[in-house]
Amino acid sequence: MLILSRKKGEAISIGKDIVIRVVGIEGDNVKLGIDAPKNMKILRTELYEEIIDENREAAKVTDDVLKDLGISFGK
Amino acid sequence: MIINTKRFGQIEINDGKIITFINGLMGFENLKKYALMDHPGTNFLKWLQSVEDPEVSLPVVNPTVFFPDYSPIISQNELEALKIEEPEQAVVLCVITVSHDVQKATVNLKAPIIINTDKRLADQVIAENHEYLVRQPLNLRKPSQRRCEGC
Repeated sequence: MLILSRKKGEAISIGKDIVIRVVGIEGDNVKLGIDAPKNMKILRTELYEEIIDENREAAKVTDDVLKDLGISFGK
Repeated sequence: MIINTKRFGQIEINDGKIITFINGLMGFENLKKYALMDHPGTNFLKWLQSVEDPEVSLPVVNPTVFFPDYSPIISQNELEALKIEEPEQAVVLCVITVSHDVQKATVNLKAPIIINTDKRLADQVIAENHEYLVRQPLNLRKPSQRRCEGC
């Protein structure tokens, strides 16, 4: 991982299309402003990783568990 | 076209029905083409079967079947990328996770899948609502545990 130090107001460029700026600092909390192409997903890393894990877990469902689905979801 | 799938064997898909996930699904970003299939014997469970990787298929549901008030707040950028201008153009599905115990099944309300059915474009997006979880319990009960027909 590349480590750079920035002060409030300073920014980091990633390639030609992405800019991350330190917009505010309050104690432990750093507020970041992000400029990036509209098609890029920007989200908190822990949320991204949680969704990745969940998608992969969902894809693993096995047939024996599925047999119960028709019954349990019956409304 | 005919594709091989791990879960359903060899199946026939109407090419015109293939959905293009513009960014893939999170965790499967390299796979962009999926077929949406019904689960035999149920009317609420569907499958997103990858056309490109036979091993990949995700169970999805219409979230309003379980959460009638579900109203995900989605960014304008993500809707524009799917060329969605009116809510009616969008179909919303959520991935369900049913690992071992069906009664512990959860649904991902935080990252719904939005499909523009006319253009066959889709994306998995983030609902800005704080109250929606990646693992929202469905709280299902087996029929024998229900006290009455209407429960």
